Amino acid sequence: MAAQNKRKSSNRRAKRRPKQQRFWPRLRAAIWRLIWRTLIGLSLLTVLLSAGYAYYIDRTISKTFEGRRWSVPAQVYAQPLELFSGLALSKSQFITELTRLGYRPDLELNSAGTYREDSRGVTAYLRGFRFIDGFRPAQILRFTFNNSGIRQITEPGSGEVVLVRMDPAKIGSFFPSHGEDRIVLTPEEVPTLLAEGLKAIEDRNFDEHRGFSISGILRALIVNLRAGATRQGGSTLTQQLVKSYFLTNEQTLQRKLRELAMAVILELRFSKQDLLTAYVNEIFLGQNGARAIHGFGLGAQFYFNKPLNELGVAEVATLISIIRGPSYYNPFRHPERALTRRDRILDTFYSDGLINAAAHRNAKAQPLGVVSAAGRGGAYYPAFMDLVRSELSERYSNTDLRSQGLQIFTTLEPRLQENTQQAVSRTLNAIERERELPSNSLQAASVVADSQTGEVLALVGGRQGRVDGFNRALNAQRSVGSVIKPVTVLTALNQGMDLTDKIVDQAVTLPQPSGETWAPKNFDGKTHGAMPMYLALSRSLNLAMVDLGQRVGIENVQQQFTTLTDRRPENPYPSFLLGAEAMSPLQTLELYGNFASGGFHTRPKAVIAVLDENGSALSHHTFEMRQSIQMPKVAALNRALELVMRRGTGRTSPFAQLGVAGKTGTTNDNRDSWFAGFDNSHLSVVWVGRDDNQSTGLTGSSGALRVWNAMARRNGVDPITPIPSDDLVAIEYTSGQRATERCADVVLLPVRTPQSLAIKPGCNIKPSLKQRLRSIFTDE
Amino acid sequence: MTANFARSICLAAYLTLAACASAPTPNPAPSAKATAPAVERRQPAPPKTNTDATFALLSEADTALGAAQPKRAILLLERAVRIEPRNFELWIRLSRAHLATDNMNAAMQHARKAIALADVAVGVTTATAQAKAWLQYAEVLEYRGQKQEAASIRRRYGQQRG
Repeated sequence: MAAQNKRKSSNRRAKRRPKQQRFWPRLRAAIWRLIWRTLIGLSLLTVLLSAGYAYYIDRTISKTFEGRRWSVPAQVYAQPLELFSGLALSKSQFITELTRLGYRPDLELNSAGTYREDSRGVTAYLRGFRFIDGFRPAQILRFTFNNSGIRQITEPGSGEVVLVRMDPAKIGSFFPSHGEDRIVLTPEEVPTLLAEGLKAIEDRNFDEHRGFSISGILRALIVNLRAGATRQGGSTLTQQLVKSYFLTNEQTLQRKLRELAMAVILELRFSKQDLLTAYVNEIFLGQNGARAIHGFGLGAQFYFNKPLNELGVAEVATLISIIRGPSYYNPFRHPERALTRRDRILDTFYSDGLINAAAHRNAKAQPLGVVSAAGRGGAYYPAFMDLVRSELSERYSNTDLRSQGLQIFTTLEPRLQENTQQAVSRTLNAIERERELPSNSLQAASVVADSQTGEVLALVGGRQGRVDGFNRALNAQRSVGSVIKPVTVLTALNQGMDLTDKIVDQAVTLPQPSGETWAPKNFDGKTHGAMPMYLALSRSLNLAMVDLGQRVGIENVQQQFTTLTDRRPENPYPSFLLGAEAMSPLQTLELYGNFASGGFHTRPKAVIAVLDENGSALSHHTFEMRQSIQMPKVAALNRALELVMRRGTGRTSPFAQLGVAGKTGTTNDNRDSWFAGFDNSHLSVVWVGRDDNQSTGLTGSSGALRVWNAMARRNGVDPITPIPSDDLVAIEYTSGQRATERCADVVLLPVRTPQSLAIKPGCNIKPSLKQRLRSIFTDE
Repeated sequence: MTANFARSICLAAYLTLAACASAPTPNPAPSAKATAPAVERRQPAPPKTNTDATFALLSEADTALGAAQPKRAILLLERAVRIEPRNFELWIRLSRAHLATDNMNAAMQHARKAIALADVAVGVTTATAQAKAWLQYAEVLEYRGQKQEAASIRRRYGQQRG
């Protein structure tokens, strides 16, 4: 029985074994199937994801690249220098101007952009240029000088030239729609030596590879392993371009792979010539303050102050040498290092047959030739460019601004701009030193305009001119203080008052809508009683001006302000009379433009015209003006403003007696120091203060006026031609009585009813009947 | 007492005089030339040396205007104004050029500017300069249909044109 049971059991096991034997293979197969399916799935997913990513990259970089490649940026030009016989420009000043424009000495005058100096004058080979009103071809002209300036201009073989324009300084190049700064070259504008030199130094296989170069990577690896440090990069020009366009500097595998993918896609999408041109326009070549120098066009201007097509062999080599390390090979900071690398590059040029032996020898014999910091970048005025951008966006349509290759002609005068910037920076340094203020605690802004046309000739947005940053000239809204007082005086003149009419400088307390009272004070804390209006303005007496403002009506003063500025005041209260009204220096310039121009309102203007790529004007901003003040009134006001300079708060200026008009302004706790002034040619506004709105300890005279003095010293003064008036009367300055210069300290002022004026005793002036009668009955 | 007597005498004398003649005019306002203090007297503005240059542009602008190219004329004249901004002649021509482009407002304002600058004109008498500027203003007024005002200005300044 037991044996029978054992058999049954062994039969059952025998039956069960095949089943077990089938289970494991089946499990294995299932696992494999799962693995395969997963792998296939994953592969499909990877392919899909990769395709999606590649599509995404392709779309992104192609779009960006297309946009950048085909965007020819707008070129922005300063005003050209007009040259004519009699112009007060000395030979040395002319040479400075030539140098500023990148002209170089050349005895042979081999090409445009050169000049030759001799004992009697200068011969210059002017570059051709397409101006707003037509093209002036390149021409050789001879300039002779005498003590007062240019004596004669002649064209050898042709005779005298009455008037000629220099080519204007290029002061910027940007995409008006987004404001980026570049000098973009077309493929045809890239010099052959630069193109071939770049390939020889940076990427020998550029013409063959498809975005990356295995041999290049291996070569760099070997060099670096041997050196024990990173000596050579394995990146192709395309990879460098990708890095510059789309990627950061992080050193990760992920970034490297992305760079590789993008490079391959760019190579598939675009021609070698397009890629090389984009590289020439994009590569980083240095830093100038906050401004990055991208591209060889801008690099040529920045390092050599001339266009790329005028660079010599050595200069091209220097620019190429900088690519490897713009900071390490900075030719200003490390000239020896830069020179060594430049010479190595010149050797490569020679060994590759890009230059011949003579050119190689000559180039190596040359110094680096970079232009010193003072002269270079003379064409970079970020604060003025802000005004250009703002005006463009305001006055031109987006469609116009998206047009390619625009030429923007502006009102900037580079010499005036440089002088103004220097005056601002140096005066602030001097004030800080003298008053032992913390270094760089003061800030300033200044705007200079043509007094007749309102065109902005110079604009300084801060003490460091070449640094982009907060533009105080346009955007700092600060209380203007006493600078606003002429508006009240003008309102009074328009209501029939005379400058000699008496107003009262006495304590005043005015209720405010808040329930508080406003009790203004004079700067000296005193009161001065009755006095003529011109004297109150000249001494900038607050209480007298409040008295005048109340007489004429504050709403009328505000209406007058609107007439002069096309804007309504923010502050409707009497404190407006003393300048509790925030304005920018540019807005203040607009206000004073009414006075400087002899009674015409003009909006400050920076853009003269914009031409499209065919040279047709998209728009031409003609002079726009509106008569805002009648002649006799502005003539009277300007005489009062001249007195402010001769006798009043402006008298400390060394130019005060030369015939200039202006007004100082100081706000509460000496937070803001203002000066607005003009002569026959220029209207200037200067603001000095602190960005944190703390006290500077400066008045209008001790701060802003000093800056203006420094500006006048550099730019000169063109004395005001006073507007003739039939009703000028000699007035004793301190009393406002009629007098003569034999008996008193007199000034000439227009008075409509001189018979109403008191006569200074002892001046031997016959009184009128009315005066005699009055004297009889009033014991005068 | 004596003072009162003197006042009475004076009053009587003056009333008598006033009855037979118009009141004596007060001392005329001293002219700038007569009483100008030393500090206020200035030399006239130095003669402009850019006349040839602006004249060349002016001639070219006239040619452009004659050839019905007022926009070009404006460009040339504005260039001249940048060289010599206070030359009233240039503003007169600008007004004329704007008139040719039917820009009434600019024509009017530039004529006014010319009038303002004619007061301080150099190299020509003020009267002549004023006449030229006012006559241009009359031109603009006539163009705007203000014929009476234009005629009135012409009557006043027509003879003085230099």
